[in-house]
Amino acid sequence: MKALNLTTLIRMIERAYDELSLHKEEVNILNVFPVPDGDTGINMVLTLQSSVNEIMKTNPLSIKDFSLALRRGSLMGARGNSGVILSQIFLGFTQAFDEKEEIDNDILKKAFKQGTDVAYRAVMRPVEGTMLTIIKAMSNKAQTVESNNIEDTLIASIEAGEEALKKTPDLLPVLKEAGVVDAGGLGLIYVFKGMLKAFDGKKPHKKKVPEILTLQQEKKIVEEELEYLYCTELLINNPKKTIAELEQALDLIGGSLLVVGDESLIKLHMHTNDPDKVLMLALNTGEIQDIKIDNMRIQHGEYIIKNHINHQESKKEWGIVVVAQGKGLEEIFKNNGADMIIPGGQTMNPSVEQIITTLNKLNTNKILFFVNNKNITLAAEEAIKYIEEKEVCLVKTTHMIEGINALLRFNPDVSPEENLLRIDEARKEIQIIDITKAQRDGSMNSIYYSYGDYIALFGKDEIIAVSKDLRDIVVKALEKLNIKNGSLITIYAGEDLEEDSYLKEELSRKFNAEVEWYYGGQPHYLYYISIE
Amino acid sequence: MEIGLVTDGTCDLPPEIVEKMNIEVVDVHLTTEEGEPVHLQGKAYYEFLRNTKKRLFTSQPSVGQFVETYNKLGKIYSSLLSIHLTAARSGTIQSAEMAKEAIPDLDITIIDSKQTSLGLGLLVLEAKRLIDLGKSKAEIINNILSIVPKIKTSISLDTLEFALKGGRVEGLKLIVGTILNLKPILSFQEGIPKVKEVIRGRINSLERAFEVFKSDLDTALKECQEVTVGIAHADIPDIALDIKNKLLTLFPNIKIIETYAGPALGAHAGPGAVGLFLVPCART
Repeated sequence: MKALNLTTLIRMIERAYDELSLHKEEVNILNVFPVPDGDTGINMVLTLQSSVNEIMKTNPLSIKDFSLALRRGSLMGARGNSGVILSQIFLGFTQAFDEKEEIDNDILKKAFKQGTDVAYRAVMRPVEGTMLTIIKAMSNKAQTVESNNIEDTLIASIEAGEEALKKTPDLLPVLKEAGVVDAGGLGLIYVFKGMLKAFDGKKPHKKKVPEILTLQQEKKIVEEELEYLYCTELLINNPKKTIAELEQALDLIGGSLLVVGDESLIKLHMHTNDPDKVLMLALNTGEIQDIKIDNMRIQHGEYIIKNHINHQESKKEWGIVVVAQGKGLEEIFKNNGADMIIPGGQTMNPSVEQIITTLNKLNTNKILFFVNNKNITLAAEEAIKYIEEKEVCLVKTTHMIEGINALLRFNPDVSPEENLLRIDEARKEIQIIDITKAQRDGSMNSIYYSYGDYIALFGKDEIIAVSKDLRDIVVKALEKLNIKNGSLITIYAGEDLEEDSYLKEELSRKFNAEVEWYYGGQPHYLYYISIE
Repeated sequence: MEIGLVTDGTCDLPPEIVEKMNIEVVDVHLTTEEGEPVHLQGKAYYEFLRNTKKRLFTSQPSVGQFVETYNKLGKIYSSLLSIHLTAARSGTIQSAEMAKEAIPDLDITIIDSKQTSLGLGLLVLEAKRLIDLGKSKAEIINNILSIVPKIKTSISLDTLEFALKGGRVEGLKLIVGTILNLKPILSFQEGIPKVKEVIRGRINSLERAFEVFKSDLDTALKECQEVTVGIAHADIPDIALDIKNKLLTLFPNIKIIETYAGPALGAHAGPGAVGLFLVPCART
């Protein structure tokens, strides 16, 4: 097809809407930038819907009227950042259509360019790796198409857009971290693929974009052939040329052109092999300032190195090591942030050497180390003396359950001092009872017990209750404490003990408390009970 | 009257107040996955939220809505003050800015409250108070801007589900996947809702949120003569009332607005959440 008429243009917008609606969920899922709220797809669909409705409503009889309806509909209905940018792309496109009766390939190329420019200008701080990058790539490709067939231009630009989409994670770390490509960019490609479906002829013949693009491999470090070597940026005060004149002139000297601003100040960004020509042109236009010329080959290399370092750094500043015993408790520690567990506890104290080995294994500069038992504190202090080039912060928790609460309060964003304060606070807010079995007959504080009795320990291993029944001992022990209404009672059950829902309910009723039950898996102690 | 006041639907101010005070509220949109608009309010909305298995989406007002509102008010007022929810978590301000650019003849000042819900609502009421006192526009803007960093929030969530789905809260990653039943307390920092603390147990979390808020309130009262307090709850009226009474016992003279959290905060915080907001008043 050599030119687009009014009917085709309308059909293109309708098809774009259909295509994107079909794929909106796929686009939603990818959404992590700027806010990972998963609504990019729906926002773009709603923006298109508003455009289609406006076109229906006004029933345009000329391309000019169609342009006005598309602009108005998309702008008025623009939802979310992606919707706003889409509306600006349409605005730019239709500006290029002007009062033409047909859109041929030359106008389409201009439209691509204009759409890209307007979109970039609309965003206060354009971010690469987003829809903007995609439309720019599409536009740049469109400019190079030599055929005068409209479909050729669209197909070529869609393919360039897909290529650019694949590279978005390299431009935007948040995408890389999430292992996705840019959502708005994918949405935009569906918009154009839809448009292409308005023709009956050719379809994009290359592989389609996979359902969800994820990055399976590390970014390959390839020395790409750069078309332009220098990234050139500068400001021009009181320019004697208009943005359009500058763009036209600069277009011949390089690519990735971005000229924004007004009569008083113009910002220029471009990639070129002739920065001297750019400077000359700028000097002839007005007074220049903030000149920046970067060698992109070096930049590219640095980017890779920086990215690599960032990746490691962003991983972690603090490493967390805990001493714990019991499968369930280890699990709880791990999924609340512990990086390494040193097995051990009341009955099995880890050796100094074991501690040193573990602390050295962790590749962070700072380590927070919860000992969780006073019998281990000395060994821990000794071990720390042998750790070089790492800052180890010892948290002298005396019980695993105390350790869990303390760990929950840890916040890597605040200072170590504040963290120690927070941790200390957490320790004070909790009371802990241990339920175990007497290993011999005896007495303490005039409480007598025989071998095999259940005993409840509180504070500094003080026996507060004795019973021959496991449920009864729990109730008796808790009665000894002054439990406030609305407290949280948590039971960590020992090795091979299953949840006792009857006991849970009874405690909840009797003490007017929330009761939670977790499997701790600790040996020797049937229950650890915390009250907070 | 010459200064008109515009805000958005996330301000959670009760309709009767908004109407009485001539504050123009631009609606934010709430839609289902299918794009069906949701218009429910109060209890009915939370019933819907609890039962619907679908995600709800909130999105900023369109540029067109702002253009219409500004044009409408431009006929009545000589200048407009447009105060909105945090730009760090919504494009509302961007829509407003674009609308402003589209109507260059109108004198419009757009202010980022760096808040939402009653944090925004009470700030708008403060602006209204200053307008009614006949302060100059520059004075009002300066006052409002100086209040923004002093606004304090403490939001207790009952469930992580909605905050996770909504994706607008920072710091949740740390507690996702934990098997312990954790209740985060959030506050706004530089416009971003962040997890400030995680607490175990519902009652403990509510108490902690109250304690944090109370100490913020103590500090604020030392610094300013007056503050207003907002309690926005996600369908827990009894608890909200309880908090209100506790606050009034401790601070008999403060003004408190208590209301249902609107659909926007509700969709992100989830049923059972309660947000406490304090906004200092300008010295007048």
